[in-house]
Amino acid sequence: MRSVSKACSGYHLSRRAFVGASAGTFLGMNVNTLIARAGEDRKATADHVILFWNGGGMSHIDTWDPKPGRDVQGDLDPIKTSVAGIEISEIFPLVAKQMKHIALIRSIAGQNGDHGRATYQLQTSYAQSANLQHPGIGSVVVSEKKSLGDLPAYVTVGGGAPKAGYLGQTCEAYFVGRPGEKDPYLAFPAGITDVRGNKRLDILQKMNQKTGAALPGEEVTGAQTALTDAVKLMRSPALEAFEVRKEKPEVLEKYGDTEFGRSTLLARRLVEKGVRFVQVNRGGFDVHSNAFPAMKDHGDVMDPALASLISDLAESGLLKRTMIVMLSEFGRTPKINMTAGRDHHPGVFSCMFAGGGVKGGQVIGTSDADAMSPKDRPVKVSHLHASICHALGIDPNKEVMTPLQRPMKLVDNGKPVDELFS
Amino acid sequence: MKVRLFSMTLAALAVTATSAFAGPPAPPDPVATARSIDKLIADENAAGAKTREAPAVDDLAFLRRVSLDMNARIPTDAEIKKFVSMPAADRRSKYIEDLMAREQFADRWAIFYGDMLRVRYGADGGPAFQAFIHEAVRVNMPYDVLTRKLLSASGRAGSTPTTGFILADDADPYALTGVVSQVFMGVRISCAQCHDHPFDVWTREQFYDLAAFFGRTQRVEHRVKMQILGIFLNERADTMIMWPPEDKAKGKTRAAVKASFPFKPTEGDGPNKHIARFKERRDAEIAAAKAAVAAKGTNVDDLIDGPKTGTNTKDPLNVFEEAKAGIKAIDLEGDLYKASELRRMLGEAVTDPRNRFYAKSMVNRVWAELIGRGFVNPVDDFRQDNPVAHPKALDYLADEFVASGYDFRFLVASIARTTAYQRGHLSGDLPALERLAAEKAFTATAPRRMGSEALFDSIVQAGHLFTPKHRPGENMITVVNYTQVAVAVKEDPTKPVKPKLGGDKMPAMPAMPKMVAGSYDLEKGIEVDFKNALKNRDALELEKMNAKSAEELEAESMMKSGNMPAGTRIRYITKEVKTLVDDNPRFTSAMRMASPAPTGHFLRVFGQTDRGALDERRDHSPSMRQALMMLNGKLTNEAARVGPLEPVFALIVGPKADVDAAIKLVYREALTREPNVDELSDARAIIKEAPKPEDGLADLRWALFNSNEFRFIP
Repeated sequence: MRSVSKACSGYHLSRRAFVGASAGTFLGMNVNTLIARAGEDRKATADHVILFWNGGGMSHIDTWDPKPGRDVQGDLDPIKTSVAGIEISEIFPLVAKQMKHIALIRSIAGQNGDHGRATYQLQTSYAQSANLQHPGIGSVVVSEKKSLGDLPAYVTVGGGAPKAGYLGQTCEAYFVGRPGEKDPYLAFPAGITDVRGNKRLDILQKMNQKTGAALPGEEVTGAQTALTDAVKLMRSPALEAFEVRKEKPEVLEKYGDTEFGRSTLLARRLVEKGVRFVQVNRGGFDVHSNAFPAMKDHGDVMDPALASLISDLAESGLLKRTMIVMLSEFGRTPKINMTAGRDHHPGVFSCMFAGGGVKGGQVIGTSDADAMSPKDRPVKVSHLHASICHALGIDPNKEVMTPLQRPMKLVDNGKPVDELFS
Repeated sequence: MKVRLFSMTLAALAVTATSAFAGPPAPPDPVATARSIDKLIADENAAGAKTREAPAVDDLAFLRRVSLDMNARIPTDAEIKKFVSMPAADRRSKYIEDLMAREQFADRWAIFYGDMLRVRYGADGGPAFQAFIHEAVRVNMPYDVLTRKLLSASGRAGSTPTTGFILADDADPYALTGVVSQVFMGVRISCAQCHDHPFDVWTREQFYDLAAFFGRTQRVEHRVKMQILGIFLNERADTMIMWPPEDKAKGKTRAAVKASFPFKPTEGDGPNKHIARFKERRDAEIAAAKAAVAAKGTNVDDLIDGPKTGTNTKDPLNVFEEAKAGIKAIDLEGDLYKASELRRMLGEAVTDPRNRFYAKSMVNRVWAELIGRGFVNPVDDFRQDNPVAHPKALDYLADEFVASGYDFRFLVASIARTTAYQRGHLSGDLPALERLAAEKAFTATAPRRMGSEALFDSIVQAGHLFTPKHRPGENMITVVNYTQVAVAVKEDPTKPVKPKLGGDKMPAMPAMPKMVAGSYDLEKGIEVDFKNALKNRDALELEKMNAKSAEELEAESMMKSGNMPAGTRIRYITKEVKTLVDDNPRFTSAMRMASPAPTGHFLRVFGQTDRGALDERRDHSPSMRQALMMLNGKLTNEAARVGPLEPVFALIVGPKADVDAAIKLVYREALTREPNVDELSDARAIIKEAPKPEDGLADLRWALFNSNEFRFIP
């Protein structure tokens, strides 16, 4: 049971939750007033977010923040990009050509060197606590922004998304195991024809109507709404977006015929159908040994996909309203270890933004000479989340109520990184 | 003498209080207790505004409700017949006894405890902890005994299952302070970790006083090379809890905090002398158990290994703890952990019958679980400005719970016999506020949705999927699986590495649900063998270690640490595997699954939490994912499909077909009632219009499983 200030895609507040919310006051102020005050409208520069989650801790030096001429640089060389003065790692030759759309932040000051805790903070903006499950940024976005079509507002591909926590079940991500894989739950099961399936739905509809007032309550009416939405989704032509392999062979080839390539292509297709937030998950960045060939491989997979996504969206015009973000839990040690690897390094690391109102062709903040710590403009993790909210016109400081009626900000005291949008 | 280390003797020695010994006093009577509670509630209601009253549910609705609440399953047709054949006067009461005597009672309430104690199969020693909790419910271990075990445990994860509770929070003293207070006392003191509680009396200093009980507790990893050989819960020499707190310590000397229990015990006994009755009962129980052991001449080996024979292995009190502790002194690895005097004291303080919060909190939880709303809501939020709905009723039941010797089954049995429990719902045509007022006054109940496990098991049961319902070979299908295989590759430094297109070689993110393409893995229920999980597995682990070559161990450790020799890489290759299988559907109970289920699993989609954060509770709000899983899932579809080996088959196929009888049977099996005239004629039409009658019956059954009436408890 969640008593949330609002319901995500709106299966209505459960009755008990409603009562909790309407009866509860916080410091003498009526809860609803509190919510209304926080919910001032803001101008959005983006309608969609595609978040690439690179699990394991992606090396910053070997991607976005090369240190040419320093011992820490390792085997990979920096290359020039289409923007004068900005260099990135050689693993991204195609992405380098899209630099005019890309803003890099090279001065994120992280706090956690542990995978679990760092993942939690990078995905939720909050420090992990034993008491409270904070929602992931995707859940935060869809708690404020409904889907723009029939498809679910929030989709995660190739791995789980963080949980919705106190925002409740309806803000959880819709899970796609493998891109292009048919979700068995979106069609009648094998052996059930459409005619028979629809017949079954009719029987069910009639049955539920007859139960009527004998089963009162928000949970029951909510179940009916969920059922209607499910059937609507099953019947939606927008479902075609999931069928990545229907793209032309040259498009599939362009993104790279890899799981990541197909996931990225899927993300584009979902956004085109109105999905608000797509998270694309990929692992294998925990390169404690032999970091350089591993990162080269990562580049081979990520580079064509990411570059194609940016250029395709730019071409269709959707890049203006779609924010692309690439995050990982931390960077990696500048010092190369005994086995040619790099270890965990939260002290400073980088991330990539593009589209959705982001001013491309710039680098925000710098790390020191050996990429050990931020040199200037240190950026807090929660500032990244606040920036995503800002682009979507969501107030990151808006407060919502947890089941204990504890007011929580959508983002943990984050301030948007203004330079991103200037 | 061979001493088996850390031996687990939960279901230890046969204890039977024979007539030769003066047994404990008669336990409180659940029926009488229920009557008293009803009277107290009525008295307390009389003081306020009059609310609407829903009459008690009818017999069949009661049967369905109580079967779900006691066993997390709807009744079978045979159970319906048995119930209606019992004498009407006391069949409800008798049937509660019947259900409580079954194994499923332990399955169902182990889930309740599992949620409350956040039992996680995947945590350190999790499998043994989950099995232990199940066993504790099965033998009806008194709640105070259980609590003390969990709080005072030291030892090796797995081998000492009770260590699971504290290890679940990584033995973090601050986290555990919040946990102990909220789980066992229903008081949310966590806010006071950083500041005095905003809505309550708790101060930051009290939080630290309580935390000091865990100040020496530590989690220790016993490693050899890179391999973790064991995780231990231990006590260190000095406490970690210092005052003033770090953020206020500037320029001050910090001193060790002396552990002190901030919950004030009551003075004297209650109006019904529950503390005296508790003591009398407990003393008699211990005396009887000790005498029984003496009479049997139990030897040391029995104490360590448990009884060799005997069917009545009920030893909920574990009165041999002391004797065992003596034997453990010769424990070869004994220096790896020490018993915790501080946590033993904490256990005593928490479970002290004069600690009112402890009994009230549990009573409130069980009441809410059965009735749909607690005396205090949320159930673990007792505080001054969150008043108790019916304080006298709660006090009375808490006292009786204490007097019963913290007998969990007595508590469940009493609540199930109250009028409050048996009330029906008010019509949805009435204004919501009137309904709510009645539900708050316990003069009506709100519809509760079945829990995830109950929903799963009820569909399996009504669809006859616990056993195969099709003959072998009738369901042959080709299954395609993709598996990722790790291959160590030596690199040729002279050739550049270029990934082959079409090969996905990077490992997917760890700890993500494995979902096979196009399959329904998310609906599988895989039962855990609890007995096996409770076996001492040290020997087995050692065996496994010995079975591996030194190179393999080395490689494994490299994999884990990431220290691969230069020039070697681990590559992952995706392999497609096709298999022809007889997909004759058979489902096992979801109640004995490793908990929590993986993300995206049926149980999780329907509200099971990951048992992580303390504030998480089952979210029974509906979602589109739930709807899709019920509409198009394998479980509902297979449960609906008519198979030749199930009873209804002969009623719908063949010469002896009797369509009306078939319809009535599936209604009884799915909804625990007969169809009414309208429903019967609708169902006849569905079957008549279908190409084959058994298909029509399957469609009807599918709709019944998906209906609101199915998933909401009457």
